[in-house]
Amino acid sequence: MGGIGAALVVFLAALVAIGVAQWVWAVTGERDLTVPERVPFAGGVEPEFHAWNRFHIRYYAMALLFLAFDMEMVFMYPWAVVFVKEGLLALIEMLMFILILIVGMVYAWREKSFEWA
Amino acid sequence: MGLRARLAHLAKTGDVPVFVVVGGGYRSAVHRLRLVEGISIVASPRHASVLLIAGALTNDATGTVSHVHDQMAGPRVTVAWGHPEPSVIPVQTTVNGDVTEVATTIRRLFHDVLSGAVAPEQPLLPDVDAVEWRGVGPYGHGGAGMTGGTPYGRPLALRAPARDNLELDQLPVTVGPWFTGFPPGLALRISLQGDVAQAVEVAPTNLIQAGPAGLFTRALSEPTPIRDLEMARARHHIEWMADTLEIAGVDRLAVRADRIAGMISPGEVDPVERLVKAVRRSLLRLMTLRNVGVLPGEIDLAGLGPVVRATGVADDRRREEQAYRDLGFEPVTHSGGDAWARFSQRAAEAVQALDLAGRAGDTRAFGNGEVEAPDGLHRMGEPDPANRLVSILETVLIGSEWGDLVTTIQSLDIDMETVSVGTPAP
Repeated sequence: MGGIGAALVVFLAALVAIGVAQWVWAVTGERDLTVPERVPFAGGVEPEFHAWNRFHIRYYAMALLFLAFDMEMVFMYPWAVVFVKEGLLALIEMLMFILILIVGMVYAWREKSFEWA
Repeated sequence: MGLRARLAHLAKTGDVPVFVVVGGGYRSAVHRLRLVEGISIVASPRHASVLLIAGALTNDATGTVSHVHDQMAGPRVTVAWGHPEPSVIPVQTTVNGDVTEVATTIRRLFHDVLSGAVAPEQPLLPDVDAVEWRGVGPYGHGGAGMTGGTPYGRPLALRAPARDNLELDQLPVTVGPWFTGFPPGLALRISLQGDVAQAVEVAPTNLIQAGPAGLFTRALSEPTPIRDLEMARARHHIEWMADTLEIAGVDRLAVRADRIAGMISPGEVDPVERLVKAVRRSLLRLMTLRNVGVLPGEIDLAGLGPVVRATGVADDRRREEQAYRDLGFEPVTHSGGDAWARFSQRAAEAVQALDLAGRAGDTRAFGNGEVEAPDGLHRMGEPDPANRLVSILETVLIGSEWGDLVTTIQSLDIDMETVSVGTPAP
């Protein structure tokens, strides 16, 4: 079977699947939901306010910290090449770089950035 | 056989999904119903085909029970169990027998509805939106605000400062009185910012009619066998543990607790001790109960039974009873005052109660107007401890995340049967 034949089979299979789904819906689907059925269950009381509301994404500070440390890993690949040539000097430079990042993390910790709730 | 008939036949072979509205005097009976094969008690009416009204409700419950009824997915049917006539909503049948009888009735009705022998119940409430959702545009679209217009007459969330002084959305919601995470009959108005409760108010409620006087109520006025009192205490605590485990999502252990509650005998502490060990081995302690629902020190907890004893205070009326002293009774206490301490406290008290029941013989205690019940000190003519627990909810729950809020309420063991808060709106 050529490429067009295979595509045709897939197309026909999709048509049959849609037809079956429509038939099952026609046979079993009774009616639209009533108003009380559409309302989310909260214990038997009608909601007064619409549930659509905006959330404060409190983990954004942690997400930024994750990005910072992720980028640090990216810097380490070229550094590994330089380390072979430079030795101890490159190691000290990388330790200084990591130390600066850790100071930033300790500051974030003090500012309670890791508390989400 | 057509497709509908085949599907109906398939549905008949499965468990009957039942949503239970628990009224006065039937909390324990519903625990026994959970164990019946072929009956599945579900947490939302959306998953149920049978609504079971177990125990007595007041006429104030009509509105909320009708709402629950109409939220069930069709075909739906309602059964009353031990609920006095006339029922708060029309029911298909009323059963006044035991668990086996109600389970048989539920299964028979479910099969009859599926096979068409009994017509499914129609909605009780009108199928109309309070207000049509319509914006300002010619097709009902657009307008002020995020969605345009006022969706179905319901305003969008309010704005209020959060703990970091940012103006954020705050969503007022009323949860209960038949929300399965709360004690039956308790409704709270909660202002949620994300999942943090920034304000909590107990909604006016007087929905549950008190059942017949229980053993501890009778013990207020007549000396009662310690063996009976302690067996009732152990059963109450184990059933409470089952509820806690179910809310925490540990269904397997919840069913095990319900089984133990149905088969305990005086002096037989091993099954309860093994259950507690299994709970300690699960992650429940670390993940959901530890450091949750710690009660502020300024709240007076005297007389609140396991709640006060879980803070390390040996406050127990049984100490003053000579019959208990003769048995060598000393109150068990735990420290921490959080939900885990209250769980450990009730588990230890269940074991202690079974041990006391095994050694008590025919000795009697109380009968002088005071009794130490499973939920605390009951005094003749005074409100039960549940009233005080409801009054501290607002203080305890503010600032809780939603999951911790549910856990905290469950850990306090509030029975709304004797609680009346304000006057419900008509």
